Amino acid sequence: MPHKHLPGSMRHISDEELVCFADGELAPRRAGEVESHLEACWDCRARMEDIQSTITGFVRAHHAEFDRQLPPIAGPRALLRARLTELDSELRTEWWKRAFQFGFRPPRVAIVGLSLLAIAIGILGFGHDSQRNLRSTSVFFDTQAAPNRSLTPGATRQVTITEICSVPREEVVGDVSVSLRQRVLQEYGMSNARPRTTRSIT
Amino acid sequence: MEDAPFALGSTALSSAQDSRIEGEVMELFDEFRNRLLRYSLSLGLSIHDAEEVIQEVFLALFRHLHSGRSRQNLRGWLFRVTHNLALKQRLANQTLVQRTAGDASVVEEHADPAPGPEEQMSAAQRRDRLQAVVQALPENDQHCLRLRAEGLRYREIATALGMSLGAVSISLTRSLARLARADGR
Repeated sequence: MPHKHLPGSMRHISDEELVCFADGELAPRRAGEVESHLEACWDCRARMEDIQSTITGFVRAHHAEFDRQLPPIAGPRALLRARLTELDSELRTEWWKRAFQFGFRPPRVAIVGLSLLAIAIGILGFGHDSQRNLRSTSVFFDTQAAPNRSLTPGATRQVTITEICSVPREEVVGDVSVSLRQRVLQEYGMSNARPRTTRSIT
Repeated sequence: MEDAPFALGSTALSSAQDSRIEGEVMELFDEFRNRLLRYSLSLGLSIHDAEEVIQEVFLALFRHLHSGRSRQNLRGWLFRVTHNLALKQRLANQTLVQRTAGDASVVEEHADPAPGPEEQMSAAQRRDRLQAVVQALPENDQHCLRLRAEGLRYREIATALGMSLGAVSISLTRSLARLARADGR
């Protein structure tokens, strides 16, 4: 029968659809249409019964092929229960061992975050120490390197060693009288020292 | 094993929770052991190997539930893991049963009986004939047929075997048609 000339409800159902219908795998609407068609169509109903009979035959053959080989469940059941108890114990041990012996494995984001935090703390600490060192240096200069105004009157400014060393000798060495040199040496507790008669650094 | 090893991310469960999971696993064992065992046997395993595979499947299920993984469609999960472990075991044993041309000849021998009242077959003869036809089917078609016989829906079969839903439907239709022909229908 040419199916394409039949109205929708009269078109024969394909084998695949019949199998799906038998298995309850058709969409509800289509299943309703197939059911209606089967009520009306002996041909499709006969094919449907063949499919059902084949399924029945196969299921019996399937069970017959293997069921006689199946041992009673009691033994395997007891074995499984014992293994589950053992596995449970292993899993608990494994969890604690991993957690405290080998350490947690935190996510990569956490590792990066902790690293950045450590670096930040390091930088802050270094900065704090540097400032403290700078302050110490200033204090050193304030208390020990400041010139004695009574000996070296006039304006003062801080200079670096490089600056001092780069100045020509003639600019820092001038004529100093013997009496002044003597007084300077005495101020520095060197009363027995004999000042040079030539030029000296002030 | 198909299942991933126990992960640290899983929580340490209390004894009560463990007992509950163990009870759940045992219930599923009672319900599915025979079906899974039949399916494993149908894949060509010896009964000893099949039993061992089923044990492994339920131990894997315990790990699966213990680590808090999905509980959706555990029936499909059981058949999928059984399928994978059974095939792995079969490969390890080198006992792959090749469906030989001899099987097909047996099928042909029985597949075309002249119908007649005197040729009514006993149930046993019909069974043997159908078994022979099934064994001559392509392996994937056999898997589909046997998983369906064990009660899996098409979607579960598709997931277990890594096939599309349509492929499952076509496979079952093709297999049933061959069985029907062998059955003289």
